[in-house]
Amino acid sequence: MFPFKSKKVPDSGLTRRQTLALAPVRSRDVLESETAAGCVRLSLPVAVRPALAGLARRLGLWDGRALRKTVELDAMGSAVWRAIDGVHCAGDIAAMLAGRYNLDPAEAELAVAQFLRQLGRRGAIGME
Amino acid sequence: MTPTSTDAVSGVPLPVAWNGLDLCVPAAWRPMRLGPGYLYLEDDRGPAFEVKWRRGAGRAGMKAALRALTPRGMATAGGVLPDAWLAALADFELMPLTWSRAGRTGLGAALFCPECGLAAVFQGYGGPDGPDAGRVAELAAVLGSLDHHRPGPPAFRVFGLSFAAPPGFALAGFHFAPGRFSLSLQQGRQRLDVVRLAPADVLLARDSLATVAALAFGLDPAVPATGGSLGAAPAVWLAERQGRGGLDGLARALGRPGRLAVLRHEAGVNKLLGAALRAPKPVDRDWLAEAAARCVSL
Repeated sequence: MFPFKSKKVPDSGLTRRQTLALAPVRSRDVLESETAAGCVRLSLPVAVRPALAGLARRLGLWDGRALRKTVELDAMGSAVWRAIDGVHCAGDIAAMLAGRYNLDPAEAELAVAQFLRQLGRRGAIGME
Repeated sequence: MTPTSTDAVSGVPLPVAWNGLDLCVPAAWRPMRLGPGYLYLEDDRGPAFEVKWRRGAGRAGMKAALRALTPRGMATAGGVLPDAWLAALADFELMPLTWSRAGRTGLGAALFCPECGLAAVFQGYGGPDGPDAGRVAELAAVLGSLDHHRPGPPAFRVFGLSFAAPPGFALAGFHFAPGRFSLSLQQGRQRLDVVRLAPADVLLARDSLATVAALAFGLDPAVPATGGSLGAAPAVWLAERQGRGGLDGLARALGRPGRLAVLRHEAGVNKLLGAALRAPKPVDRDWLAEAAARCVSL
């Protein structure tokens, strides 16, 4: 029934092997710095809904400059971020993570896939 | 069961155990979905093998399981199983099934074990033309290794953790997320939680072992912790409402169970392994130490 229609998750049609062969690329809009603990801090542009943006502008609450959000990564997240260079594929990054932290390879693949998905949703990376 | 890199390279079949079912699978297969009586494995190409089972379900359970596991209206009883599969399943009564959908096919069977009453459905996945010769051979080996008559409580050997449940405890829940795998087992009003965390060095760089243990078992970080060792590994014990009488006894009598937890640091495999028991009576520390010692890293 229309109002309760379930949202179907789009199927990429890729197998896991094909997905892991994709190389993540950092977005040019992301600003990177380092925390005192040696971890990565990311400054990400935040998308504002056009209706809210228009309202905020009219009320003089926003001057139109891009809003940013800061995210601090933990040690593993920082290691993955530093490995994102547009050359190494997700599978390579997972293997690197598994080797460095003595993780199970399959679990490292899941962790990397989940993390890259989160970064992708925030617009911090793309895949090629 | 998650393969180690050595096993994946050598192609040695890996033993998997899940809630009463034991089998050996190719090293490249990985469990992707689990249920109380359900196991679904994939390889790099996608779905590989799926099995669903119920103890004491009887012959009627065989048909019910078939309906539950296969795409609605798509599966048809019938089809011909490869001889190698039939040989491997000689101990079962079986009803072959087959289905085809969106360029993918499944070939399997509903099974009934007349000896113990177990009903099950399994299927191997294949391309548009069904499972290829390699997949058929792999599945023959998997089906040949199928063991569900192991005496005693169920064993678990999956996601980097091996655990043999104490007598009387049955699986009540589980959770897997990258870095964490936990099992919950129940016996009456007692609940045993088993947890495996990784990587230990990252977790312990942020918090102490006691804090990680409290977070892992859902205890208040203010709960008193005592250091010690379990086997050769450093460990921490957390006790909540474990006094014999007084306020602890009153709280337990009023329905707030006590909890005793132990988490150990296996530095060699960079993992944290532990167990916690929630019970309406004070927990026997030696019993919990023995149960926690059964949590072994794979």
